[in-house]
Amino acid sequence: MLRGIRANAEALGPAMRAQEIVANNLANTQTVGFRQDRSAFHRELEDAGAVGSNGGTTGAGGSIGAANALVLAPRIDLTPAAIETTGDPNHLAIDGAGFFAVQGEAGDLYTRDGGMLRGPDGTLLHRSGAPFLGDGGPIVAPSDRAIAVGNDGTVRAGEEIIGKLRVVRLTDPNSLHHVGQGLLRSEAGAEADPESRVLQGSLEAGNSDPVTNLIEMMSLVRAFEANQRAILTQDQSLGRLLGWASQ
Amino acid sequence: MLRALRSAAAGMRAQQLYLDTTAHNLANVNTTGFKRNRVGFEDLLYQTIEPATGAAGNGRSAPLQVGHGSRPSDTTKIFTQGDSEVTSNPLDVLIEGDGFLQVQRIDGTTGYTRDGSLTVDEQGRLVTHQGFVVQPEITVPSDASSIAITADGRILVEQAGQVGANEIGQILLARFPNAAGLVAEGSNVFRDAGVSGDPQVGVPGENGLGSITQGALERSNVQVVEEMVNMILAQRAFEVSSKAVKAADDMMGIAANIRPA
Repeated sequence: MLRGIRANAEALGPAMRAQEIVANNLANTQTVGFRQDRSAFHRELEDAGAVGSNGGTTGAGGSIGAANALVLAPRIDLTPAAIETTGDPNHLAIDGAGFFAVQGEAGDLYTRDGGMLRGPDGTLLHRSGAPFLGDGGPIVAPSDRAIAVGNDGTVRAGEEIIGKLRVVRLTDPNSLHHVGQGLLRSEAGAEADPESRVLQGSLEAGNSDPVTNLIEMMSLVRAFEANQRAILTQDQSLGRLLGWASQ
Repeated sequence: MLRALRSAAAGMRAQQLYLDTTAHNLANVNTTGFKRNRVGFEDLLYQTIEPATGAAGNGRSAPLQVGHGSRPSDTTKIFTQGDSEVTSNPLDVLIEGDGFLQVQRIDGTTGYTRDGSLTVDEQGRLVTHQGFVVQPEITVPSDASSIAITADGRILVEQAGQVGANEIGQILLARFPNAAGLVAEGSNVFRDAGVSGDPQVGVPGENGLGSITQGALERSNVQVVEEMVNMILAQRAFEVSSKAVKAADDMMGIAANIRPA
């Protein structure tokens, strides 16, 4: 009985955390290039040795809740989102699975947000201020000519090629994590992605979908409530038992 | 759980600014030389609750991270060309292409504008209709009977008692490597805040600068349909974040009632 209460109580924490993730997704429905987190729960055996001993007492094998830990394992959802045509030559979007590489303070970072700004010296910068990386480092655009970006990421100022934006495919998407400001870091490497196309004059929306997130939010509230009710019921049963025993 | 409340509130604040900007764009749909604003959003910092430990055994192959919502990161002016409107007023100039007219602001610094509805002040100097003097200063003689402005900005006047036209000056344009870094000062004037790069001043029509058309004005580049769509998006995004506030509050209420009184 106490084990049951603990199992239900343990489910409350991950549900709360998952709700925090959903709130973050919903707050970012208008964030360009945002990649939402999808929550997934899985049960993990905390201690394999405990299963056998529990088996004897419960007669139900190792499936009793308290021997398992409920683990929240969010994944970054890399589904591409809608591409909006803005007409601004400083806006780039990627059609495909690739990422722009930008120069972070501690190694390369990756982003789907291709809203470019210019540094005072003409360097092409990401919204966060980190320079976009070309094949030979940051790309500096001359100030007196408009730039044109080709589908393969080649940046031209007039007729002159001034660089080629690095568009990469991540070797292990599971190792991605957020660093904020639309940037992602990967512990594994990245390789050139020739299949993705760069589109100038467009931006990719975030992939945070209000509908699935609202449904997720509702089901989390209900799951939370169900666990609370279960705790309540077990507490009442215990109370009755104790009341009976003290008579 | 409080984090969910705060993230949702941050989302609502960001959408409020989105709506503010949309309202400002719509209010300026008929403002000469107005450039629409676009708000950029970014996700806020993430807290790593548990780091990735590798995929083997019971480890995590991906970290457990919770973000803190979104915030507006920048409002950039979109400097696409607005529609042109023929006014036939000889002192109206339209810049077709890149570049700004330079004007002297009240504090003596140089301002930049796309609003070419010029007039002359009591000293005969060319000024914008807000009274900012166009730089370099050009004085129109009081006895000028007609005025012509060429595509490269030269101003020619015909004066009583003279044969042919006199060139009294030339309008020069300025352009910036990073025009998005200019700061809008109101009155259709932009200010160089030091991040837009050094202005390149030159003759209209040369080195990438736009050319000048006399007797026309540039209207705003606000597209009403697009702004209406943005308004709907802002309102709905605001709404979904408010639902997240309610869900977080509901869950806290449930948690508080695990043991009813």
